[in-house]
Amino acid sequence: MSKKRWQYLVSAIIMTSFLLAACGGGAAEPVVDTAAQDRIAALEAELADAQSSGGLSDEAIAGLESELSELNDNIGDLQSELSTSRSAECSYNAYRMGWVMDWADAGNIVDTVFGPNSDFQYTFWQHNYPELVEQFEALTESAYRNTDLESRAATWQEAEKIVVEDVVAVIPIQHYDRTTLVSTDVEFIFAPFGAPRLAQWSFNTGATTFRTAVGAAIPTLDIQRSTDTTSSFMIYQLIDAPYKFNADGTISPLAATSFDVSDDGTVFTIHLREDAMWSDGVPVTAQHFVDGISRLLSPDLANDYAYVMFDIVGAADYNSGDTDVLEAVVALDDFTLQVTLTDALSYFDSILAFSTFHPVRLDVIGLHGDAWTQPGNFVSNGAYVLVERNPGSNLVFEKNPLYWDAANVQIERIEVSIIQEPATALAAFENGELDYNAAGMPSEDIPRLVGTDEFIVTPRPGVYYMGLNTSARHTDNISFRRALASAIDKRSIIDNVSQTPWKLDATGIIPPEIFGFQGDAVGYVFDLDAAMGYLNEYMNAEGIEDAGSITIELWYNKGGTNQEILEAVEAMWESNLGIDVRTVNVEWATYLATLEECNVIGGGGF
Amino acid sequence: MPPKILELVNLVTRFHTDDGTVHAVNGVSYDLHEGETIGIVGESGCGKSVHALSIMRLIPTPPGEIAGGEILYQGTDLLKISEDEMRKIRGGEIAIIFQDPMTSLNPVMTIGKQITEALNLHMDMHGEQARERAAEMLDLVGIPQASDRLNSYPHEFSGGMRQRAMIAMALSCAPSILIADEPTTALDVTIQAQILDLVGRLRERLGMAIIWITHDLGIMAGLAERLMVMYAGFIVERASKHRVFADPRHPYTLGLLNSLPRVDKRESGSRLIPIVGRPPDLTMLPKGCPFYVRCPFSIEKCVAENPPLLEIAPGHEIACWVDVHEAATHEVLG
Amino acid sequence: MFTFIVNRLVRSIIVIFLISVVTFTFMQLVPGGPFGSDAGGRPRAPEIQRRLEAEYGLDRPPVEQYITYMTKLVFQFDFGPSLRQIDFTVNQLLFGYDFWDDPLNTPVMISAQLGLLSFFIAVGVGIPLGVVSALYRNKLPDHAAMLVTTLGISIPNFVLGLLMILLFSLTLHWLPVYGWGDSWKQMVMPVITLGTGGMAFIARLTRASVLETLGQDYIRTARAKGLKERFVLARHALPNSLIPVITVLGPLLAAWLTGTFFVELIFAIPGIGKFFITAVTDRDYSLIMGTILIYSSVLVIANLVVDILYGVLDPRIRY
Repeated sequence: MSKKRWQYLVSAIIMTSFLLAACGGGAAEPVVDTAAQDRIAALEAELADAQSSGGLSDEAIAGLESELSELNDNIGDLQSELSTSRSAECSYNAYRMGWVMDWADAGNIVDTVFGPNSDFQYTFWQHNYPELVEQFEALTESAYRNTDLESRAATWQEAEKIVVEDVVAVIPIQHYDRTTLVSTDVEFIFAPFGAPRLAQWSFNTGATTFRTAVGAAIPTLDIQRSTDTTSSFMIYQLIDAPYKFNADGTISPLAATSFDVSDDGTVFTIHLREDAMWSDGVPVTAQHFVDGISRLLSPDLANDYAYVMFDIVGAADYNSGDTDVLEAVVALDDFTLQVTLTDALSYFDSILAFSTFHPVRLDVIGLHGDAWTQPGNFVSNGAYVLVERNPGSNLVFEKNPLYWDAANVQIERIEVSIIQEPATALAAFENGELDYNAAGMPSEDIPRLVGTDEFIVTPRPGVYYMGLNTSARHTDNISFRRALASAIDKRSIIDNVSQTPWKLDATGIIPPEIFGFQGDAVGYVFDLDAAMGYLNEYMNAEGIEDAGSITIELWYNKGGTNQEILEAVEAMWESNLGIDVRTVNVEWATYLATLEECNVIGGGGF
Repeated sequence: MPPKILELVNLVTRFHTDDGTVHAVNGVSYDLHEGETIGIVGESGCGKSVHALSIMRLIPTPPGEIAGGEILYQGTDLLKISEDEMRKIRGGEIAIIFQDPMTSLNPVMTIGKQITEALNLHMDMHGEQARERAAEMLDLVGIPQASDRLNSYPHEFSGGMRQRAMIAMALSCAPSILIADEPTTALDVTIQAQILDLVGRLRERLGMAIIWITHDLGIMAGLAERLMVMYAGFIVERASKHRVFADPRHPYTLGLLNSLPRVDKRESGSRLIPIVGRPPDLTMLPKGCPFYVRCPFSIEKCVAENPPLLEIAPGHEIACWVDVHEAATHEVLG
Repeated sequence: MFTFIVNRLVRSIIVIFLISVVTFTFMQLVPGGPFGSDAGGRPRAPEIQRRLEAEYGLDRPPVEQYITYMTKLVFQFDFGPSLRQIDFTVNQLLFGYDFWDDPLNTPVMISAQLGLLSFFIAVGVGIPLGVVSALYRNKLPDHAAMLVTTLGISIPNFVLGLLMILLFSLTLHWLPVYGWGDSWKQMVMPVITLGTGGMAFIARLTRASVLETLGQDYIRTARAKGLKERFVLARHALPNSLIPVITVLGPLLAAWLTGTFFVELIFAIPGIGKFFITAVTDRDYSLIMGTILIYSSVLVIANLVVDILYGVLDPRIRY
């Protein structure tokens, strides 16, 4: 190559390095210093200490106080800097989201998703309605301690009302369900929570090989690290939790035989089966469950579901690395597991059927290291053993001969294919190459499949909703939010736009399968007159003459039927209220990233 | 006179196109004797190349058609034999070389291969024997380091050498007739002279008959014995070269000669006199003489009837109703 | 020729290096990261996100990340861990858990099989089709061939694939819908789907090239030598006609490779093409880099091979 060309090449490389460095250096974004926050916490603690015990001189106290106020000022400045630099990006008035529940307690949606401390909502209502936040927190606190189903449900209903009616932080659209295709030769059981356990399924033809497909590559088979439905579907065939979910949402014994709860509701004693064995012949003991929970909470692993167990004494500290032992989870003997909670927790019995109680064999992990989830290394205490695993292609399970209930397991071999294109999965199912299609189907095909014997709809509690940004212009006003909530004809969208007429339209967030469901007694139904009334209230209060001058932004992510549904919402808001709606849609990862950036340190406040 | 080797009787070749039927060759007849060299002269489009290709039966037959006549090679009518038999004759008995040696040689095949191909086919020579013969031929045509050059590609030769190679290829199978279709037109003058010289010497050596086609009268002065002048697919004058140059009788030939710069007739102030007008449209030939529109000597009969080729003096034929000697006016003959 | 090859190899390496820089930069610029949501798409607590990013070194400055990545890649051929399929390294995802155990069934080889088979179909059917078209120009075989090739070029392979599934699987039940490696039947539709576009293009190009070549003077010379027509075609016309076809094969390959993504997706073929698409939406940086580098290397090498071939076939080109 000529000398000149080398020069061009070298300069190109240098320029690209600069470009990279520029990205790394960051756009000088103000980031709030976690060290500063820690220091503040420490100082406050010291001050509180000093003031109560009087151990420090007045000067020392004054010194601490001034340091404290300085740090607080800095943080305040940074926060407002942050919010101004962010405000241009966080211009949404409404965003779409969905949530599928993990267990049968209303708190799993009302508080976990919409509560003031939730990481999963981007409405900022916790900043704008502090008195309601106080009320809400009091309600949730009492509900979590309340073991009586009915009174607890009533409390959750009050909390739901705050979120949906008093604040109108969220407009629910419809409830979820599980829609799938299963061959008519198969006898199946679907529970409303968790993944189906194929050990309970059978062929009425007597066949023993079961073929299914999932729609994504399996993210992981690591028992404590998985959170998504695909990984869970796989793991649930291999690993048994102490209890399992039944089709009606109640729990039944699986790896355990029974459990007791102390009178104050804080100590759970779980009695395990004595005849259960791992697939390598080692008996299943309580210690394995202890290990599972400890591993879930391990500070080294950053597991998403660790928070589920934070009501266990010392769990949060253990998870953040502040302590190194988890004393509240012990194996009293080989077959008795004991867990102690900080306070009574109403739904903790459901957790016994949840993946956070899965056992694990630390010796196996120690032996095989990163390869412990590969076939041949992975040991199961469940009905199946992992026989083949080709990432991106397929997995094969075969019946675990040492399973305590092997005699009742009729499916002997499970072949799971990974088919990422829903049209292909549907074609494969219709061609008889699959017995159960868990890989989805194109929404355009649903209308013709509805009513066929293979088309199965089972409960799957959850809600598809729109969150409202209570800090953004227009949606910061409660009347306007009420107007928005009342102006959507959800039934029409479900029947005519997405053509899924069996789905239930929602005005509240607690799903129909969950105790506490209120139907349209909570929230705002479709009511054009009321909507116009609320809108006029808003316009008068703000002195706005023309509804058309109100412009709001509606954000959603591409995928599934979102576009159809949200375009219908946009059309309804525009024609029913006369306002102007701009939609912004991007793909999922970008969508979530943008919402989460807006949520940093509650960066609301515009 | 040596025996006749080729006899054309009333050859007619046409092309059927969307714009009409092109009458390219309209009843050409002549004889060629062994070892004889004849030159065929005429402007572009007069049918000289087409008639040559017709002899070789290389006319593409969807648009083209050899519509009539006979081509008797050593007594056999080439138009009646099968394609297989014709292939034996092509290259083996009658060879042809073309105008542009760069495009007429396959650019991705070595010269040696292109020659030995013919040798394989016609002389049943293979392998080393064929290569030796090919090298001999290259040497014969004056290409230095002949055996090394067998492995060269056409683009590695100069223009003149390429034409020599083509000649070597054509003569490698010792054909009895060599048709040369304007082989020097694309070459510069000095090379032209060399090639003419070469062909002359080869003729001495190998004794083949030559049909030399050109639009340049001057070239024929050296090489040919008899000349034929063609116009619009007809032969309009045929005579020995001396007679043609000394005493041209057809108005067209006169015109051709007058448009030639001549060293011997240089008078200060004399100009070259071109032939006025343009060549006729071969799809719409008049029923009379095709040269009529451009002819300064035309009479009424010329419009009505196309003159046949008639002998006006021993060994001198023209196709014209007019005796130019009589009709000559000084202005025209300059 | 030797210096030419060495020269080109060096330049190829530089090109691949530049591709890695550009890819890396774009990955940094695109919003969202691998840990923004959990594998199920649920939003993830920011604290956990931070810990995960620290675990995988994503909180280091980009230049440092890049250098670490490239060092591991160049010296240890280690593409790093997958950020979404956390039980595997990218090497395992691309080259199989144990490459030497069953090399032909590893994702990279599966994609290679798919690509090569469809390539041979495209060339093996396209060139003869083009030649026949040229020889029977404007007659029935020509019109039929041109119809087929026009369809082949116009129908996107996504549509073609699904149509074939509809016909051969769901209606005729002759072929299975998806998969690879269990039976030869699984290969039919994907290979045809992928090969059709290329075949159509090559056929048309060959036709044009043959027609042009047949009009050349040296064909006339060859006939004038008395060679049989078949011989003239095979020895004189075809080699010359193929030269332009070969020159386009290099760039055509790029379009081919992107075609494999769709075909692998539609037929659920466990090659690396599928990974390519999902890796981007998952923001699995190491997998993205791995697939891009492999594809770029393939492209670069293929272009080099084509250029060498071109030089071999046409003596007028001398490096």
